[in-house]
Formats: sequence, C-alpha cells, structure tokens
Amino acid sequence: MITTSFKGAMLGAGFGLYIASFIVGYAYPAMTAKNDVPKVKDIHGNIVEVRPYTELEKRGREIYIKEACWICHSQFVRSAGMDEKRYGPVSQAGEFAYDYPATFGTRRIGPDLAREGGKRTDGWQYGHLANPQAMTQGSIMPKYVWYFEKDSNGEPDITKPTEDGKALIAYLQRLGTSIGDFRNPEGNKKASSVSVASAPKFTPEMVNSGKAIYEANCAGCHGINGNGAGPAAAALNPPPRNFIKADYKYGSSDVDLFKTITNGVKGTAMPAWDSLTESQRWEVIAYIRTFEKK
Amino acid sequence: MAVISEKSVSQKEEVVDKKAVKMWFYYSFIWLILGMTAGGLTSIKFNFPDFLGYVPWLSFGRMRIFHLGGVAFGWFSTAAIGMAYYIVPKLTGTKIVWPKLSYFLLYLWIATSTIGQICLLAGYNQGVEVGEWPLFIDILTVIVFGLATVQVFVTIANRKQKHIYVSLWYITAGLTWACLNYVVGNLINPYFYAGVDNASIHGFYLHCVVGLWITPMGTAMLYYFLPVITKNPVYSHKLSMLGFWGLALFYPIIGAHHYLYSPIETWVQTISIMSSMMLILPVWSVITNQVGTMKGKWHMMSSHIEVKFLVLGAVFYVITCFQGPTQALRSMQLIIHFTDWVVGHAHLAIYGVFTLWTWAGMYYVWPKLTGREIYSQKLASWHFWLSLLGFSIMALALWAAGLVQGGMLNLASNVPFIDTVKAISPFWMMRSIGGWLMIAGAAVFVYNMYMTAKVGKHIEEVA
Ligand code: HEC
Ligand code: HEC
Ligand code: HEM
Ligand code: HEM
Repeated sequence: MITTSFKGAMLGAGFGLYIASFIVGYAYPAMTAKNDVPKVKDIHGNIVEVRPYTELEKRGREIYIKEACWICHSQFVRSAGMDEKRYGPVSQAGEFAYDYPATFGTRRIGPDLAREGGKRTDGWQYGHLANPQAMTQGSIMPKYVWYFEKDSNGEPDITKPTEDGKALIAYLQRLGTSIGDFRNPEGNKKASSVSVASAPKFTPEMVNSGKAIYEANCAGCHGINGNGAGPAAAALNPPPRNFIKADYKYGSSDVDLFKTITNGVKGTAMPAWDSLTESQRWEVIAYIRTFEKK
Repeated sequence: MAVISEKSVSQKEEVVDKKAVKMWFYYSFIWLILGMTAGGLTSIKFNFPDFLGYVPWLSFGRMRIFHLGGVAFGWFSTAAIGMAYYIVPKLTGTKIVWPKLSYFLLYLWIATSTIGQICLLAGYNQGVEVGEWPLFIDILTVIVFGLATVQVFVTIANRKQKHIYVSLWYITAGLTWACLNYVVGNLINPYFYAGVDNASIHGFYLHCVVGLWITPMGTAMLYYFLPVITKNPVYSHKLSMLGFWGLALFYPIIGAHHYLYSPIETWVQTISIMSSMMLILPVWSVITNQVGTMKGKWHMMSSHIEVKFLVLGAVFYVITCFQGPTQALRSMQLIIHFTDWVVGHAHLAIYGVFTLWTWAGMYYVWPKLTGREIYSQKLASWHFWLSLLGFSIMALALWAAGLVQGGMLNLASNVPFIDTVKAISPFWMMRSIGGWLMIAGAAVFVYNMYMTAKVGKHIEEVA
C-alpha cells in the first residue's frame, strides 16, 4: 500500500505546487488586474471604450486563427526596444479584452500586426494576401490564393476576395485602432489635401533611392521594368499603369503624379502611399520617370 | 536502496507487458518520422515560400502546427507513456494493473492523435500554441492521460518494492501534472479567459508542457536507464530528490517569461524571470548525478550506443539550462525574443535532450522487448552521427539567425523588416540542411528498430 507520507507528498507535488503557482502567479492577477475591462487610453489621453468585434471581424479573426497567421505574426507592441518606433504605440490590456483566445504570438517571422489597422489600404492588403512577394519583394509569407475567386486564367482575382477573405482583411484593418488614428493624430485628412506647388529637381541620388523604394513597393503591380505587368497585375482591372508608355489618366506633371501616389486611385488596386515619406514619394517619381526615356 | 539494476529490480517472473510497450513504441515511430518530416518541409518554405504553397492543407501555418503536434504529442508523449509501461513494472516489481487498458488507451490515443493532426491540416485549430488540437480532441486526450495516470498510480499502490525510486516520482508527478495542465491550458483558458489574462495563463500552460511533462518524463528515463546500463548505483538519491522538488517548485511559476514586456503585470513577469534563474538548481542536480553515476564507466561511451546518446543528451541539457535562464533576462529578451534563437532553444531541449535520451532508452529496451539483438550497430552509429552533425548545424544556424535578426530589428528602427528576412535567409537554408540530416538519422533509427524486430539475432535467454 502507498505509505501515507508518500501519498501526502505526491499530492503536494502534483497538485499543491501546480495549483498554488497557478493561483498566485496567474489566476489571482487575472482576477485583480482588470485586464478584461475593454477600456483604453486613446492617443489624446482620454479613456475610451473599446468596441466589440463586428460579425465580419469576428469571422476574420477565426480565419486568422485557422491559418495560424499567429505562428508568424505577433500581436503586441512591447514596451521596450524599437517596438514603439517600428510598429506604433505600446499595446494596452484593454485592447485585447474580446480575444478568446489571445493571439499575442511568440514569434515574428513577419512583422507585428498589433497596429496593422489603417496602415495599408484594403487594396494593398488584398494584393498582398494573394501574392505577398509581388507587394514586398523577398517576402516569405505564403500566398493565400484560396481567399479569392479565380479569374478566367485560373489566377486569383484580387478584386474578388471571398467572404472569408473580406472578413480577414476587415479584421486586420481593425487591429490596434481603438486608441484612435495615431498615424494621423490631428485628424486632418492630409491624404486628400495634398498641396504641393512644385516638384524638387531630380538628382541621380534620388533616382537611386527611388529604385529601391519602387522595387520594394510598386514592382509587384507595375513591373520591375515599369511595363505595368508585375506578377500581381494579371488580375487587376483596370490594369496598373505602364510607365514606359506613360499615358497618365490623372495628369502627367510631377505634381499630378505626386497627388495620385499620395491618394491612390479609389476603386482600383492602386493604394494610397502616404505611408511613404514625402521625399520618398518624390524619389520614386524620379525613378518612374527614367522608364519613359527608354 | 539506491542501487538499481535490471537484476535487482526484475525478478523471476516477467512483469513487463512487452507487447504493449512494443506497440506504443511502434506508434511513436510513425510520428517521429511524420512529425520531423513536416518540420523539414516547413523549413524549406522559409527559402522557397511557394514550395507546396498552393494547397491550403500544406500551407505554412498549418504544416508548422502539424510539426509541433507530431513531435511533441505524437512522438514524445507516445514514447514516454510506452516507457512508463516499461519502467513502472520494473521498479515496482508488479505488473501494470488492468493490462487490457494499456491496449485500449493505445487505440484511443491513435484515434485521438491522428484525428487531431488531420484537424490541424484541415484548418481546425483552437489558436493555442502547443495546444492546437480542437476542443473535442482535447477532451479525448485528457481521458487518455487521465486513465494512464490512474493506472500507474494503482500499480504503484500494489508495488512489491517498498522504496520509491526517483524515476517513479518523476513519472507519477509528470502524468498528474500533464492531466491538470492539459485541462487548464486547453479546456479552461481558451474559453474562459480573454486577452492579456489568456496570454499569461497560456505562458503558464506552455512552460508546464515542457517543464512538467516533457522534462519529468525524460528525466525519469535518464534516472532509470543510466544506472541500469552502467550498472553503477545512482550517485546520490538525495540530490535526485532535491532536483525533483526544485522542478516542482520553480517550474510552474515561470510561464510569463514567454510574454515579457507585454501588458501582463510587471511583478508577474519579474517573478517568472527570477524563477527561471532558480531552475539552474534542478538542472545541476540532474547533471551532477549523471556525472557521478558515470564514474568509472565513461569508456562505455565508445562501445554502447545508448551511453553515447545519454551523454550527448546531457551535454545538450547543460547548454539548454544555461541558455534558458540567460534568455529569460530582460536585456536578452529584447534582442532574441520573437526570433529563431528561441526556436534553436526549443529544439535543443526537446530534440537535443529528451529525444536523445528517449532513443538511448529505446536502444536498451528494444532488444529486451523483441528478444533480438540490435540489427546493426553500424546503422546505430550512423544514427548518432547524423543526429549530432545535423543538429549542430541546425542549432548554430538558428542562434546566429536569431542574433542577426534580433539585432537588426531592435537596435535600429529604420531597417525595413524585409531586409532582416533577406539577411537571415542563408541561415534558414543551413537549418534545412541540418534538419534533413536529423531526419535521415531518425529514419535510419526506425529502420534499424524495424529490422531488429524482424531479423535481429536472437538473444540467448538469461535468467
Ligand atoms: C511564413 C510566415 C507567415 C505566415 C504564415 C503569414 N505571414 Fe504575413 N508576413 C510574413 C512576412 C515575412 C511578412 C513581411 C514581408 C511582407 O510584407 O510580405 C508578412 C507581412 C504581412 C503583412 C504586412 C505587414 C505590413 O508591413 O503592413 C500582413 C498584413 C500580413 N503579413 C498578414 C498575414 C495574415 C493575415 C496571415 C494569415 C492568413 C499571414 N500574414 C501569414 C510572414 C507570414
Ligand atoms: C496593388 C497594385 C499596385 C501597387 C502595389 C502600386 N500600384 Fe500604382 N497603380 C495600380 C493600378 C491598378 C493603377 C491604375 C489605376 C487606374 O487606371 O485608374 C495604378 C496607377 C498608378 C499611376 C498612374 C496614375 C495615372 O495618373 O494614371 C502611378 C503614377 C502609380 N500607379 C504609381 C505607383 C507607385 C509609385 C507605386 C509604389 C509606391 C504603385 N503605384 C504601387 C496598382 C498598383
Ligand atoms: C524530434 C525532433 C523535433 C522536435 C522535438 C521539434 C520540436 C519543435 C518545437 C518545439 C518547435 C516550436 C519552436 C518554437 O515555437 O519556438 C518547432 C518548430 C520548428 N521545427 Fe522542429 N522539432 C524537431 C525536428 C525538426 C526537424 C528535423 C526540422 C527540420 C528542419 C524542424 C523544423 C522546424 C521548423 C521550421 C519550425 C518552425 C520554426 C519557426 O517558428 O520559425 N524540426 N520544432
Ligand atoms: C533552465 C531551464 C529553462 C529555462 C530558464 C528556460 C527559459 C525559456 C525562456 C525564457 C523561453 C522563452 C523565450 C522567448 O520566447 O523569448 C523559453 C522557450 C522555450 N523553452 Fe525553455 N527554458 C528552460 C528549459 C527548457 C526545457 C528543459 C525545455 C524542454 C523540455 C524547454 C523548452 C522550451 C520551448 C519549446 C520553448 C519555446 C516556446 C515557444 O515559444 O513556442 N525549455 N525557455
């Protein structure tokens, strides 16, 4: 028979320490810390309510879990290092109050997505989901082609995402937005009010840095040599502009191009590029211009 | 009685249900190969993202969790339960109670784990890292673990040997913790705790899987096989018990070290770091005991494949347990958290230590189960060297990749993320090469075991 001391000790080891640790280190803080109150401090310092997920966003979150996006993408901005500069304001407990289970993640094979909402246009997100390599050259993210209808060539049509695809992007666009639009804290629509009078003079250095920006951001649609036939182009209607022909729809001066690039073209896949700095936008224009001469 | 040897513990009558142990091992071999191969295929995707990429079932995320389920639950857990069915009767001098249950549990476990793994590929996972199987599979898993635990407890209650050897402590505790922890991590946490609390408890669960299931079961094997193989008494029984209690005391509280700098309360994070430091204690007790027990028997390393694996595993254990506390420090976390460094640590521990120790045990037990000598010592040697070489390449590549990417991302904010991906892609290639050598090693092992059972030389019966 089991000796009493053995039985007691086993209970101590097997149950006692485990349960004690659970209570002290985990269950007690969970009860007292009020982490599950859906309130956050917004970018102006006010305490605001976090709204629950919509049905669509909830569906999107399910897809996010189903595809194990959380294996490659973390979802919290750490309170240290370069996280804040890189991704945006540090994460707050209230932002996660509706997450069953949490998708914090322990790995960043891709960038953190805690503040992804509003960073890119839906168009960019669709193009990226279907073909990440086209949007970010050298990306190792899988192509989630099964979230799009097929076009006549059997290629995914990035203008026709499935319901699940739409839900996923709706979820991504919601991530981290409950604190307000930290990218544009004053709320002035700088995107729609581009007021530049004249273009800078293009230098060879600008062309050079423009090339890198172009290849990382634009080549997926507009083609590596500017012919409008990048890997993601096939499915786009209207097609991306061919910079060799350079027959621009919305004005062909440098300033016109600057406006188009800043605002994107609504209703098409052309994203708004206010995520690039102004000088980067000028540099990329300087580079685009070099296609014409060929 | 600190001396254990097969003679002193075993007896005239046969207490081990050889067929049951053999069948559990056979099933673990299947997942050893499937699980590792899934890891190998996933690793190719790091360099060639389109590889097997257009089939949803084989896409990166799903393959990656399939890999973990395959090696952690399919391979290690199956092998560990099989080992318990061997070690417990030997140390208690009694047969496992309810012998039919061992088979019933195996069939239930085969169904559970196979369906669970298929669910992952089909896209049904519950979003819990290291607990990905969906809810209904979790319930079945708890039933399997729970019944095995009861079976082991009752067997020990019926024991003939009065002394409870340290391996029994580890096995009973490991099984009990595994049941509790599985319930907490898979049935309670994902459905009752949201957000930050959920993450915090997930950290707790995650580290209890490795610390209170994989570690105790692996350590039980070491403490059983080392004295039995070397025919030396365990160096210090007191030390081994100290290690056991250290594990029980410090392990459960360290979970938050998976989420440092997160919105989890700072004091919880700090305790987890301190506790991570303290884990050095149980580790050193195990290592000291191993070195002490090996005294005068180091020469066996050249002649006994199982001793080779035990010693190599111990070397990796020392490294793991320097690495663990170091990487729990906030300053280290800043750089290496989220990177391949941690993946290196995970493989070092579960592959480099516990898989190697399991293999050592299997090389020793398999001839006893089949009544035949190991088919080929040469193949066993290939297995060893392929594993050592492959893993060394993999580990170095991952640690280098982790430092490079962690540095690029965290020392400057203006390096685009994609540049860090490009910078470490050669290391990923190296990892794949190392990984496939490891897979080749494991395949050689399984082949050798299979051939042993089929055509190995019969061992003359020794009383
Ligand atoms: C193999 C790991 C991997 C998986 C799985 C993965 N991603 Fe990615 N993801 C990456 C990498 C690497 C990048 C960075 C390069 C790029 O922009 O494509 C990235 C970038 C992103 C970005 C752009 C972030 C930015 O810069 O704004 C989004 C959004 C994204 N992923 C969403 C997802 C979603 C949604 C899923 C699941 C359906 C997913 N990812 C699955 C690796 C992965
Ligand atoms: C997701 C695909 C996509 C990406 C990425 C993309 N574009 Fe476009 N772009 C388009 C499409 C589609 C059009 C055509 C819009 C139309 O015809 O109305 C277009 C049109 C344009 C035009 C022509 C506007 C005009 O007046 O005719 C310019 C200039 C342009 N893009 C620049 C860029 C730059 C610079 C980048 C990178 C920073 C970029 N694009 C990235 C899809 C893309
Ligand atoms: C029995 C052997 C193995 C065990 C026990 C094992 C265990 C693990 C564990 C625990 C993880 C999760 C790591 C983490 O999240 O930090 C993991 C991930 C992984 N493993 Fe293995 N593994 C084994 C063999 C292999 C092999 C042979 C390869 C082939 C290259 C491999 C490739 C991978 C890859 C690519 C990942 C994903 C890493 C990432 O997230 O970046 N594994 N493995
Ligand atoms: C001295 C003991 C140990 C300490 C202090 C320790 C510490 C840590 C820390 C701090 C992490 C998190 C790293 C990060 O995400 O940044 C980690 C991860 C990990 N450890 Fe350990 N470790 C120890 C031993 C072990 C052992 C023995 C095992 C295996 C049985 C193990 C398996 C793992 C795994 C699998 C992960 C990856 C978890 C994931 O993110 O998926 N560790 N360890």
